[in-house]
Amino acid sequence: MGMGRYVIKRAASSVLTFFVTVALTFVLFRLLPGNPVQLLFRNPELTQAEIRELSTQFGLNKPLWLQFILYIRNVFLGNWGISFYYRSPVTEVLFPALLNSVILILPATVLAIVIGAGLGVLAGWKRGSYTDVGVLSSSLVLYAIPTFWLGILLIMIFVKVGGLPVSGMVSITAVNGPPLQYLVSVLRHMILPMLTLTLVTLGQFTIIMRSSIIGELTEDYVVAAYSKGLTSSWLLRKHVVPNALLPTISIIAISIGTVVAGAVLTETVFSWPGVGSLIYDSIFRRDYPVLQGAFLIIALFVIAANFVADIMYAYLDPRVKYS
Amino acid sequence: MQNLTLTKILTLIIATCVILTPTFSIATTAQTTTSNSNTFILGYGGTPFDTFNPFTTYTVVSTMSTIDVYDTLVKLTPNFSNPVPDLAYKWTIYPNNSAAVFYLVKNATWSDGVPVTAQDVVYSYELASNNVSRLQPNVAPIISVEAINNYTVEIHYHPTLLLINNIISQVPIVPKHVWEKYVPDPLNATALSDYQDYPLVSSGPFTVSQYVQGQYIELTANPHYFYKTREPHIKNIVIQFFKDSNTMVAALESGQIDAVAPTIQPAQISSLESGYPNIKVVVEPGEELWYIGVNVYPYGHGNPTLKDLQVRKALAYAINTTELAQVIWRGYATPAAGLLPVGNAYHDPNLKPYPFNLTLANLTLEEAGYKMGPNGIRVSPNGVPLSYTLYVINSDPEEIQAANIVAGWWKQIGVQANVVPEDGGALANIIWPNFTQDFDLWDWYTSPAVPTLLSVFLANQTETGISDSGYNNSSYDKLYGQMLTATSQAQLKEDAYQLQAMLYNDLPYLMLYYVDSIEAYNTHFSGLYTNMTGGPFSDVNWLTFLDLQPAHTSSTTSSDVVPLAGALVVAIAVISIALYLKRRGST
Repeated sequence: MGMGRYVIKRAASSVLTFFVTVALTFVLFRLLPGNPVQLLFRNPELTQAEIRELSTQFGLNKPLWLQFILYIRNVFLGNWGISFYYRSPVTEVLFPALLNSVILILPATVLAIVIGAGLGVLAGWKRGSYTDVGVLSSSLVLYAIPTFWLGILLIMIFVKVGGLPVSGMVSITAVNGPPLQYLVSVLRHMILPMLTLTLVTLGQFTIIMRSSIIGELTEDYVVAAYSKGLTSSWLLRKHVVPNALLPTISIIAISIGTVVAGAVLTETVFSWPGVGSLIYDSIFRRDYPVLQGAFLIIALFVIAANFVADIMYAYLDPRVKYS
Repeated sequence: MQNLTLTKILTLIIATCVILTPTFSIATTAQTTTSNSNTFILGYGGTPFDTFNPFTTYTVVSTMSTIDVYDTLVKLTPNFSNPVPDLAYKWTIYPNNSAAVFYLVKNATWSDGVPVTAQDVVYSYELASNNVSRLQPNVAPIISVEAINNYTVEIHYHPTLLLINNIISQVPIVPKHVWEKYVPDPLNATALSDYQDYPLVSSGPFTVSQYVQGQYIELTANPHYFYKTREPHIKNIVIQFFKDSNTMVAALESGQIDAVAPTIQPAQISSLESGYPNIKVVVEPGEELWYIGVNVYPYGHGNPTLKDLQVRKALAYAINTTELAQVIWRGYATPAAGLLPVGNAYHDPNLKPYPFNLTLANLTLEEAGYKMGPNGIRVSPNGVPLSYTLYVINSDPEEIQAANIVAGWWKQIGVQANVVPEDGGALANIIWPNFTQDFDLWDWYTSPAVPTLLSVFLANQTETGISDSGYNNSSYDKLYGQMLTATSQAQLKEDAYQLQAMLYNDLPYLMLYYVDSIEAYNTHFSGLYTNMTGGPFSDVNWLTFLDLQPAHTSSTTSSDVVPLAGALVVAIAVISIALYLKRRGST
């Protein structure tokens, strides 16, 4: 199979996956028990007329199949509905939160990948040494640390030490200040949540990269290269690391989804107004339109990331596209 | 080659330092400005903000944020007993208590400069009666609202003594000329529901100057506010949203914010009081009641033994509310007897919690014919074991602990309770419409000014998904109707007491405790109105933001450390440059 046909096949598969996700998203949230009207407005004075009116407005009085058809139609028309809770269009609620999450998650993920993979290379290369034991055990500890615990620990430390804000995204005073002050304020607020997210995610990259490097080092071509008299560092940079990167690329694509999950806790602990905490709140409120929108966006990200990873994988390892 | 690498590394270090230095130095300014005497930052960790529309919001933070943004015709004194002027400078209530005339001030203007008139009042009351308005039950007794002239309003209503407390002091007056662009027909439910009311035009002592979803609301003092003696002392109030109360308290400790609301955990009090002399904790009666709802619905499908009053009495004797309040809330809760919390104006102080007496509980069951089974679980005369499911709302881990403690006491009287935590949606699905539950441990919040929480037990509230006990008592319904139309305050109070006594005797709820409101603030601000149910930052306390003022103008504690960090970064930069120059010179 040529590269072109492979790309088309993967693209078709991604589109199909997206369609299935769209349908599942609708079903998934309606499986949660409870009526949004009752949940949103647990008010002792709520009247029957009010409940009926709100149910009508939310479209909850329509049969489920009709709600599904309207939902599918609206998704593809770009009308993602009105949030039950905020009473504003979902896009207005979702996109600012999404942007805030990307601001936090993107650099944290890049840092985690770079540092994690770098440490993995080091540990794999120096297998059995104190460096390896140190890197591996710290990676396992970081991998196992609960996100909220690490976040609270950092907050406790910085409350005592000072110097960095422990919550929110920007200082109120910076909001109306010059753009530089705003930017700096956001950067300062980012440091602790980004550090938390980076630390809890980098362990997995270290562990995978280390295993990959160790696997590569036992290959015959490495032994042959040594026999030819190639230097260790040249061999590592030119042959071992590029080959060992292949499984890591898959892990990175898969981890995009889990990083969002990790961000839910980080955003909650640091009161970062991102999509993670929005999803968390919306589940309790049964705010179906926001949940549907958020999951569609996340699904889109994950599917796109996997698509890119598949193509990159095939490009880097030509054996894949012929399988 | 080596020089080139060194140069790159040093350039990177210097660049990092250059970027970080302003980060820290500007940060110093920001932190210090946080404690600027013109800005008060309140951290809020409760249910997130939903909308500014005062007719469709269901969140405390929304009502609290706009309590000094929108005016009402009158406001209530802190003990909720008397009205004081707001947009109406005087009023007359007709002797038959079915009509009242309100005279508006003539110098009140909206924040866009348009005068506030009687037409705004009429329009606002129409909005309040819209089917999706949360105030619709409040204004139900109103027959008509008419503008006699631009500054006089006449209201006709079915006689009720709750006119001021439950209607006039509750309905916000909004600008007709702005709102009618979005809600031309004030009774149109969709239009009212869709209107977000932001940016908003208001007439109160504060205006909403900024709102960023999920982050904060900023209020700014209204320079054109008509009530000169009530002008705020602080220029800006910021309500910053928090997801986690630990982080919020940490932000208070670090000086990032000036106060915390709506409540913090009792465990956080001692560390705040002992470690931070500039932070004051305020404990006031709260607006929250926790209870165990018993399924007594005549057509329900729970364990039928719970319809027997003797069983419910025995269960009540087997709950030590004093110990629960102590263990679960570390004493920051009051054992409950009546439905209305201790800070409510209609709380019945004569009712006392059922005594904790396991012997009496066992005896009550024994005499009612519930014999102990071989497995330690009592069985009814009809052979139904006293084995129940105790659902508990899972949002509060403390309450799950409370449910387990109660189950432990009940076990000692031969009653088995299987504790099952559920989220609100799942619990609602279990209860309504089929009433398949036995017990639900849940809470209610109620306004401290009115006794209307008692409406939860009206028979018709079972089908609306409000009543979780299914209590059905026509005498209760009749007395509630009588209370609403009482002709004297004494009668109204007496009726509210009687209703509470009926619930106390019939036990559709096993009352647990009224939780205190625990808030805290930095003492570099003073004037907070603390002697009010719900604390200084509740949704009924309209005085705090007005009376708030700086106690002194010193900077916060945390900012002292910040210059140190900045200096450190600058020092690293200087040393790096020096090293670089030295190496360069040597080569």
